[in-house]
Amino acid sequence: MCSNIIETVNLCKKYKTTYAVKDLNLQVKKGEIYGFLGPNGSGKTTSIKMLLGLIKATAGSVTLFGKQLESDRNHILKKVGALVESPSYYGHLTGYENLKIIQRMLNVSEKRIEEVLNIVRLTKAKNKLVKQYSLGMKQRLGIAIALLGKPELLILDEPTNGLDPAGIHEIRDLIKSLPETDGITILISSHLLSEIDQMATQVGIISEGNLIFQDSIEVLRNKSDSQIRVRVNDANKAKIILENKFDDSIQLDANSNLILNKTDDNHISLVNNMLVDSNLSVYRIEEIKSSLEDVFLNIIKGEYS
Amino acid sequence: MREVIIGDRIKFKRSKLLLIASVFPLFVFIMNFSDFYLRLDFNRELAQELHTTEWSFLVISCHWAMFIMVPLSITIFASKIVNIEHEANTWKILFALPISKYSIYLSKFIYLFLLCMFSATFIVGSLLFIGIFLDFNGPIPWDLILKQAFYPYIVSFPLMAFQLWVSMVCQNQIIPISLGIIFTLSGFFLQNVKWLFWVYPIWGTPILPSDEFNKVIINTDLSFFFIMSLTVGLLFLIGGMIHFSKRELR
Ligand SMILES: Nc1ncnc2c1ncn2[C@@H]1O[C@H](COP(=O)(O)OP(=O)(O)O)[C@@H](O)[C@H]1O
Ligand SMILES: [Mg+2]
Repeated sequence: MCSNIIETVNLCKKYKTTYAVKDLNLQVKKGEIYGFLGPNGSGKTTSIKMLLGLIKATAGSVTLFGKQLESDRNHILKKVGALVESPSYYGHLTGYENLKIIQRMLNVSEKRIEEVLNIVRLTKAKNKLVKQYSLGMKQRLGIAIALLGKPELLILDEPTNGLDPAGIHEIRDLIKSLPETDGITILISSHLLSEIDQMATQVGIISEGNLIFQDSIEVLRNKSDSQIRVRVNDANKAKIILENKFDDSIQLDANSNLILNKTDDNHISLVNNMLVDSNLSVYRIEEIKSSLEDVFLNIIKGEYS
Repeated sequence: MREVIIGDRIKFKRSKLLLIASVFPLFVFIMNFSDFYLRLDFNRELAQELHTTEWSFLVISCHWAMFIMVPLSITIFASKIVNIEHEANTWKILFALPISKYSIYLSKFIYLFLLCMFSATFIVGSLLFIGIFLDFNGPIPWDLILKQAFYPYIVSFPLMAFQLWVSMVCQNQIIPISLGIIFTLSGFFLQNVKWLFWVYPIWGTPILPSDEFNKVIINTDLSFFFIMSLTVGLLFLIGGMIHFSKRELR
């Protein structure tokens, strides 16, 4: 028996002739915040719909809490809260009434409504019609609905999509505060790494239906490699000198800085000496690290796979 | 099941469902009230030609308005109840809840049926009002009035199940509404094709005038239509429910 809350084995979804999701092997352990990343159209929503049984897999299996989704659907879904794609809500009802519907259907205590309203900070707006809510409020209501049943697993599909930076920040804080209080496992999808960077513990990256990376966020960070940027008074002359000496082509960036791929200390010291000996003025030697977003984009482009 | 029915009830707030459910019987009331009010003597003569009372002639007269109104109202009720979900895009929330899709489906049917019963009750009130207001002779024929108000709905069980099914599976409600209108209009021309479930409302009446228009006869075909209604209705209800529960979310 494994401790995975979510485990899919070779999960596939085929629409007509193309696979929206192909051989997906997700593994999400208890207590993790799993960032499910991928560009638009890469298959995130399709995967999540299969996790919830909203659509049928073409092949493969979904196991949640160690039980097969197909055979134990209702038992499993009692422990799952979900927000899938764009928010959905009864616009002609108030926030409170929206929650009340789901509360009645889940048969949980009415007190829970106030609790989740408080968690997503909608208590003040609870008696306003939802069609008058801002997008951020609607998203928070969606999260509140997902939280009503005190889920052990929370699945959020792009909860920050379409929000302004302040709204994104608010949702991020909200999500970060959850696992500590309840010990729940969270799967959250996004097309921007920056949005989940500060909360995810594990990351899965999907591109064109294939899971091309799945590991802790530290492993992802270590993939970001660095280069050395050197600024001199005559970049072209320096380039010729260095290329002759090291028999290696050297790039110039847009601002006529030298970009070196070898970054060890000895090499840099050698480079510096040579430039100085050739009567060039060295203004700056600095390390540039590619951002996590660059790593993400590179992975998607297939540079690491 | 109970949880779903209670949850659904909340969704109808501010949806004007009862107002809509009143409009259709109100149409029946206005047509018949104005007819009997403006041409009371003429209607009395017709009743005499049929050798019957004013009350039973009212029952006979109101039927044409009812068999138009009943299928139309079922169409609109079903669409209105279900469209709350389509409009709000909430199927994905409901389907991810630990409740069976059958109960989601059945709950909608129960509310559709209740709206029909509400309309039928409204009809009872309308007929009573007309007769009492215009001072009809003789005792109130409760039996006839209740049958005339409820029978057209009872034989429309297949139509309810069918319209509910189409409304549930079509995102675009133009489709079930157009179908309902086609049923209503074509039913009139196809009324003698008795296996077409959408002509049943036309036959759901306790009494009819004879072909020679000289007496009132009891509708002896009723038991056939009741049995057909129950069988075909259950078939559509169960079939629709299974189909709906197996369907994928868009
Ligand atoms: N119902 C559908 N029919 C056909 N193709 C679909 C359907 N749903 C999704 N797709 C396709 O599957 C791919 C993945 O979509 P989706 O899972 O929504 O991506 P994401 O959520 O990552 O943006 C897309 O190319 C999309 O066009
Ligand atoms: Mg998506």
